[in-house]
Amino acid sequence: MTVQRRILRGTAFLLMAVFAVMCLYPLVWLILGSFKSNQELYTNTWGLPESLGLVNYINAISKADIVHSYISSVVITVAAVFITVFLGAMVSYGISRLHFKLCKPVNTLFAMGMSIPAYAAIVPMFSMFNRMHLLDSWISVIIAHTVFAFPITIYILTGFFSTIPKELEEAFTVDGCTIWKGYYKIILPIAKPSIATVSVINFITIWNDLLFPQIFLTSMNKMPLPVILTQFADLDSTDYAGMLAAVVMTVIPTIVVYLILHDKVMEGMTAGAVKG
Amino acid sequence: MNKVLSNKKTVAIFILPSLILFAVFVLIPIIYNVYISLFQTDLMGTKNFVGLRNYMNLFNDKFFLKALKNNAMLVVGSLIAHLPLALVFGNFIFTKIRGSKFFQSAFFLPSVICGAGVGIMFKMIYNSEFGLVNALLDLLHMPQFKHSWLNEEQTVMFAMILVVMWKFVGYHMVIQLAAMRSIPGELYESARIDGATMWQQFTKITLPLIKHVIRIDVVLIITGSLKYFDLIWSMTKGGPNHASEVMATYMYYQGFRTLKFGYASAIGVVLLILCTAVIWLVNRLIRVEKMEY
Amino acid sequence: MKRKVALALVGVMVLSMVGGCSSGNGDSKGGSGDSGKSGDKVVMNMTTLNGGTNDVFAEAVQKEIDKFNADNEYNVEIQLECYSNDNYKTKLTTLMASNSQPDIFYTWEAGYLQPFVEGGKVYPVGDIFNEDEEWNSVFPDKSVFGPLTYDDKIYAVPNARQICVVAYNKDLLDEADAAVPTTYQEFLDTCQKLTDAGIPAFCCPCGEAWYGGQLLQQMCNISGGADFYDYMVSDEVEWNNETFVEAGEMLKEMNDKGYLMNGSLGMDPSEGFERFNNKDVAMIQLITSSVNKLISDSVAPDQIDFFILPTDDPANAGVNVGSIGLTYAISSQAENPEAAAAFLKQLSLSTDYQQDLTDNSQVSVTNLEVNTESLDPMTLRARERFEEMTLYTPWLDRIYGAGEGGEFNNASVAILGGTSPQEAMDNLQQFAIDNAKN
Repeated sequence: MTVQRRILRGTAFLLMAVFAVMCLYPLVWLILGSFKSNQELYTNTWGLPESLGLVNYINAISKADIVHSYISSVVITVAAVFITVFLGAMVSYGISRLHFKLCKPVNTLFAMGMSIPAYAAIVPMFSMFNRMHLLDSWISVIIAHTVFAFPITIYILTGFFSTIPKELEEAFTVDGCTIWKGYYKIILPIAKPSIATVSVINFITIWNDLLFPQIFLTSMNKMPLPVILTQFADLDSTDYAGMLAAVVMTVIPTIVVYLILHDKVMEGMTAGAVKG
Repeated sequence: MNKVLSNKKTVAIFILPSLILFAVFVLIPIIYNVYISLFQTDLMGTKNFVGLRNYMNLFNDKFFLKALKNNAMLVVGSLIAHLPLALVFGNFIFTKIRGSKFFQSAFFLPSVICGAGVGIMFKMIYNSEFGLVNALLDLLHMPQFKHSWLNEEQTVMFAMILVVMWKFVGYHMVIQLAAMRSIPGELYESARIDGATMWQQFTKITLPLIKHVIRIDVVLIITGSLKYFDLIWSMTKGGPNHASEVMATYMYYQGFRTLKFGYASAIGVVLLILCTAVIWLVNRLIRVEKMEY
Repeated sequence: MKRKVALALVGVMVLSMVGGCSSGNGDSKGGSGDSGKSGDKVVMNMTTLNGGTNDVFAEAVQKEIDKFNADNEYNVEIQLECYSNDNYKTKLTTLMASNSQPDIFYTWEAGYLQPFVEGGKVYPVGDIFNEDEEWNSVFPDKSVFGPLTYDDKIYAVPNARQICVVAYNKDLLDEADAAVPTTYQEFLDTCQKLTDAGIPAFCCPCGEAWYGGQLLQQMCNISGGADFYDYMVSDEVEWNNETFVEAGEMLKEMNDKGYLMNGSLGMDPSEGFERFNNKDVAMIQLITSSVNKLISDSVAPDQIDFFILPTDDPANAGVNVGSIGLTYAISSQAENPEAAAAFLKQLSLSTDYQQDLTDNSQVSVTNLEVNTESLDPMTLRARERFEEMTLYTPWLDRIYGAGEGGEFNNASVAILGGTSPQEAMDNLQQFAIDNAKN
């Protein structure tokens, strides 16, 4: 490597390191803070906590229904992401590859969905779910998330599908494959990187969503993590350290899931990179 | 071939399920929203038809105008942070600077935390007594710059934008990185053999080939900034005194607090029009040809 | 690989749907107004606040519900759902808008409940209350129903009252040789003496805007008394009336002379309490129901006492910001409003419940005997301030609701932030005019 190259790469590394510190330090501060008492938080903002006492965590666990909320979050998010990607990929394929008259209007319709803020639809959706007796059931939240995730999913996937050469369909139909088989066995595997991307995008949005579960669910034991977190953040709470512990508890599983998912996503993405 | 591709049954199976779900749960509520925006109603007893009066009042409403301005600031801030930064870092990681794997996870982490959690965290970081920011200023011997960041009208939006920028850089970086990774390696190899520099490789190969993803990303960034709600509500609820109000929080406030659902729906429609306009504009400005290679 | 993942996900999905449907009762009731059936009993849903200070009150209500469910003549079972303050406001609004409000719900008075009453969502519990001697005789002072009466009918039942008081640290006042004020001028003198002695005088934690609003409102009371209060809540009110501006000037004066603690503008109330508990500030304004926050290890309770912000004009004495609290109302959609009313009656008549409230610094509105011996002296001293009240002036953001009321609070914060009172009140008046058009 030339010296110039070395310097450039060194600078790049430095820049990234600085930014990584900016990204991670708040989280580190959060974790350290969660072990401190409220008094310590005021006096010793920076340093390491005096002891790794779990008092705050025990408080937080006893006050909130953490275990149930983990389960809720996982169920809602996984189900919603799965349905969104499954149905979304089908529609995207249909819009970009199949021929039918209303192709463009359908595409525009979904694209317009990106402009819609969720809370604009809350009250009418609530009425609808109410009449369908779906309130206080995870299904209402899953449906709500799925339909609001369609626009971006379809936007990205149609973009991808339109880059696939048209000859591909000809190729496999000539071989006697139905559209279905071809879709599953050939098209989808090629689409892995985009599907992975779309899954990650949706996973994060849905996992972190606060509004839908708050409105459509009633029982506390069905509420996902973000809602449980707001229970801690409400007025009149002097227990900052306890709040930090609660935040850490809700963040850690997200991080763990991300670390697991991240490998699969990378695997999917790099696999797709090798184009035949 | 055409017959297979336009087979009605196939089309129906692929398109209909999603379309129906979408129409019922998104389109109908939106139409209802537009309908309600023509009324003055609290959705309980009162319902008076007022036509376009809600819209006219909106443009005389100084809080709404403040919200618009704040959204604009958010859009600009996000574009600055999430495009160039994400691209540059993405490229660094793509070209495998030392520690790339670690950096990738580190940058992505902030976006994984829910808005409420980030809100709580930063409320404490910005706390004027024991928060990180003011403590840092003390350490750097600059106590005159200390503020109550989230409680002063002049500083709150600025502080908010920093948090949004912090949260999503990694997210957009990963999107762009994924696109970069789908570029065949041979292109870079042949470029290297021809003596292209890193910069040339970046601008002549990477950028053009991920243009379609950049376009998607720009749309995501802008519409996201226009619609953003979670973080802002959990940090300041649009305060103090509407200084950090954005269209989303104002709409929420007018609907669910002051019960002016007609007025709130009008805000929703304005948001809808703005976002649609943006998407159309971006699609026109960033033209993408189909790449086949 | 993808196949297996897909199958696994489908499995999870199916399980989740089954789980989501069957946890809780068979048919979902989530505030859906139509009561489900659990065994033979009719189920009624009830909502209240939890989180922070509200946890103890939620627990107290749950105890009463258990009692009621064990034995009531209506064959009714009440199920309680709790929400934190901010979530609750959104949730209740949504439920009301879709006509599926809970059978019994926690509410605030005056301007908050009014739209629901006008929308026909609330049952006029007064019909039952007025006929029931046993029930209405435990309320010696019927004026507590004032803010809950619309069109001469009572729509909700309160369980406590709260007033705004100023807590002070005796030691710090002694250090500055300052006296406990009995007039407003004396109050300013006290603040001056404290400031001269280098002690921050007064804390008004405006991190939540209503703290500023309540101080401003109290200044209005001091200047204008009962007459001005009548004007404030009338339809003819103009927010830039000279008394409002005068009150704003009083607020500004406190700020300009440095009586307000540094950082008050953005301070969170909980932080304010911490500082007061740390002896960092001599006086702090708070509501009586938050008095239990002043219990700390570093300050002995007998160092703390209270006074109501005093006035120079004896005619205005005792006109103070205060109102009712822990109020519950019944839905007009309730299948069995008599049962609901019976439960509310139980709350009013339950010495256990009233004792729970008292133990947690609330003051009851009923005349039931409560044991105040177990209370610490500081809380007792706070309770004594109620005897000085001649007129309760509820917080303006409860009377006017989130719009104008919220902006009144914002105006006070703006004044403390440096805006001239005339300008702030002019802006408020302009807002009120514009707001009326929406």
